[in-house]
Amino acid sequence: MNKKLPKMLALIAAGCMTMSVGACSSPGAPSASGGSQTVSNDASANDNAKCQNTVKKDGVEKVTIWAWYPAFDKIVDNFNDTHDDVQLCWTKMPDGMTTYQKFSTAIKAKSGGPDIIQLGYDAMPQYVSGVEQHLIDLKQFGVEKIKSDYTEGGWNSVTLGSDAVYGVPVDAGPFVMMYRKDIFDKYDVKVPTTWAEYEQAGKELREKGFEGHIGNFEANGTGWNLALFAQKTDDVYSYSASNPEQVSINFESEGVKSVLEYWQRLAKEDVVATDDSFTAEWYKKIVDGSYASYVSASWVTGYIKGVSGAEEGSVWQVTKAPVWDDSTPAVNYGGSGIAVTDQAKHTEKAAQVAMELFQDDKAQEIAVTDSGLFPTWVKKLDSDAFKNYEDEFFNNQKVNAVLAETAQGYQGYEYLPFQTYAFDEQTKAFTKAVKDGEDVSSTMTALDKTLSDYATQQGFTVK
Amino acid sequence: MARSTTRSSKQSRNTGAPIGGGHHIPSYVLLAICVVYFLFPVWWLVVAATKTNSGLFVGSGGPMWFDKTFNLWENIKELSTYEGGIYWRWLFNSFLYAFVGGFGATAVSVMAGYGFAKFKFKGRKTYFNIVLGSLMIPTTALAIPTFMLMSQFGMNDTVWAVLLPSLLSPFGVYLMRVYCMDSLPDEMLEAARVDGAGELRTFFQVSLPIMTPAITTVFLLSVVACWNNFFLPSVVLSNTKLFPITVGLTQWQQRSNMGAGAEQIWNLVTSGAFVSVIPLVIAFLFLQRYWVGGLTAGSVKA
Repeated sequence: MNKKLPKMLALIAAGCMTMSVGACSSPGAPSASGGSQTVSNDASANDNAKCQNTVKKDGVEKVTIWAWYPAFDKIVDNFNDTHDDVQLCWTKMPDGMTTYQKFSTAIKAKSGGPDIIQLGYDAMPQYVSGVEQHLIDLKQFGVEKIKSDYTEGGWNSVTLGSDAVYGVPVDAGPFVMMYRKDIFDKYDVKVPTTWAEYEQAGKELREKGFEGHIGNFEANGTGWNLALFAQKTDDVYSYSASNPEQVSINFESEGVKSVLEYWQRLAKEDVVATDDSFTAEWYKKIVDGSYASYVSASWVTGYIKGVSGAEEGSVWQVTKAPVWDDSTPAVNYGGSGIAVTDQAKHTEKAAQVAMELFQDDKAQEIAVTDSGLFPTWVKKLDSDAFKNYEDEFFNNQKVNAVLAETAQGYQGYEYLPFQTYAFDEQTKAFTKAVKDGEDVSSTMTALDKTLSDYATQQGFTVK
Repeated sequence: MARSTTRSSKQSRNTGAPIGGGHHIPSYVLLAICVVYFLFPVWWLVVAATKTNSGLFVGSGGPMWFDKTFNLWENIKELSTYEGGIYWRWLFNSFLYAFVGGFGATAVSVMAGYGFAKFKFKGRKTYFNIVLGSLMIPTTALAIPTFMLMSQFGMNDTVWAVLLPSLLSPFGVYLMRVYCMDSLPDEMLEAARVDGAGELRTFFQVSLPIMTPAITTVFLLSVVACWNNFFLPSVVLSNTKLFPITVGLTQWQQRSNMGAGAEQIWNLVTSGAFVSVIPLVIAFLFLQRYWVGGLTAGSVKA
């Protein structure tokens, strides 16, 4: 006996090694949920959930949320202070990408997801397409009654082109131009309001000895590129959650081609830089005066403020993004909403929380001042305090007045259920066209084909 | 390494080789290039750790030299206060995962390796081949399946989700088996058995002391593997209080990105990374002989 025991131990150890982790313990019960539009009703399932925030009231039902909004702890505290029947339990996420990865993993595992999740508008369709129905239609919980409180663009972003409502819009990213007034003044160049003037101003700056560029074309700008196309009222992607088997992709329109040809020309003449975004180099150039202006979403201002003082004497101002002509519509880049997942333990309660969380003056105030979000909540947008707010960083410019106009004009976009893949492919194509100077028309035809083939392969009908 | 080179050059001089010993120059040049190549990023980290947020972007000395404001102490102070000093908690977690995981992995490896080397049982070869085969599977590829298993046992977002998978180290088992086969003569174990020692006693009192050098190596390798573990904890953990330093710093960096958390804490990312490598550097310097000893273990013994 004594002799055999170690052998047994060695055997067990070896056995454990060969099978993977869980093999030595007994199999657990398969978790419930999954499938489409699961509505659950378990009020105590979250009682032991671990929260980032300190839950204020004990013995009350909890609803869990994943979000990466800055200063979100204050918004959560505000909600918990004002609610006695439910408490919000927050897990802090670092950014959108990580959140989507974690959520997708949780979907595969059929457990581990939150009740409520912050999702960028471009990320929503992938969770509501075909058999992948992981966001709850909030219509059954009466979301329609708050519809009029939100901008059209915001609301269209969460309906995904259907009758359903898959979330509550929170913030948006009106497309504007941030520029270095000191640089334009120094070289005595007029700040452009149209793209033709932009090209002209860019050339002038170079001629007058400015060593940087007027701006940058980022081939990997994802939603940034879409905003440029939207100025020509060309939607490259179409998808509706009410017809989830069908997508439409169109990069071959005249609008798209003319936009790309414009940037191709500017890049070739070295009027603009062509740095990829979200690289160290790009971060540096935005704040060190290498770009005289930066056309992008309003949330970029938060970033610029964060590393303000990077260059002494820099004077930042905000104005409307350059347009093609008077008919150019207001466009948007980014923004997010909060959605209720099919893993919500008590779906109705989660829906109630999602609808009430930002439906509140105090919460909106925190969101605007502390989190630096640009609201989709009309009451906030219309308030005088908001419009007349003088931003010290922008030399007391009434920045919101510029932005609000853009935000109200925006109608919303559609994104594909495989948007991540589409973004990757469009990045490759734009790099070829603008950076490498290849023929725009044939590059776009190839991109169209790649994406359409992929869609067909994934089981979608391409219109 | 350096010492042996100098010695050999002295020797060649003593034996009256032609003055200059020119044949060493290429190797010195090569070594110098290697030193620069390897120290370059370390130097950058040291410099970056001393900068302020804006200094990192537009510092007066460029990326490879100090800025005019030396901000290292302020950065470290901020590390202790930012989010309630969660940085130190992450560092502690890393130590916990590295040492508990490393210790467990070593224990399992030693026992399994010993079993494979010294006991004959049915399927030994098959099992060992499977262990060898699992060496080829990157742990990253197992992260998602691990997540699913863990979620079945409700262990996601607990320390166990990180610790349990790190207990298994196929390489450790392999190393221990090789070492046991080469340095533990069967005759010695026979002798112990003849003298009346049970298997457990033989293992602990006869075999273990001889295996010590290999155990140290496996322990060090496992600790470093656990310390550097990134993907698994980033998948299975959501609660920031449980993060190891690798995941925590990455989260800070992601949050600093434009359009994410709108908190620019690049300075904390660089200084945090700098502070977190110090323990490993110290460990490396003091335990150097075990590293070298361990890596060559089994290579010369026949």
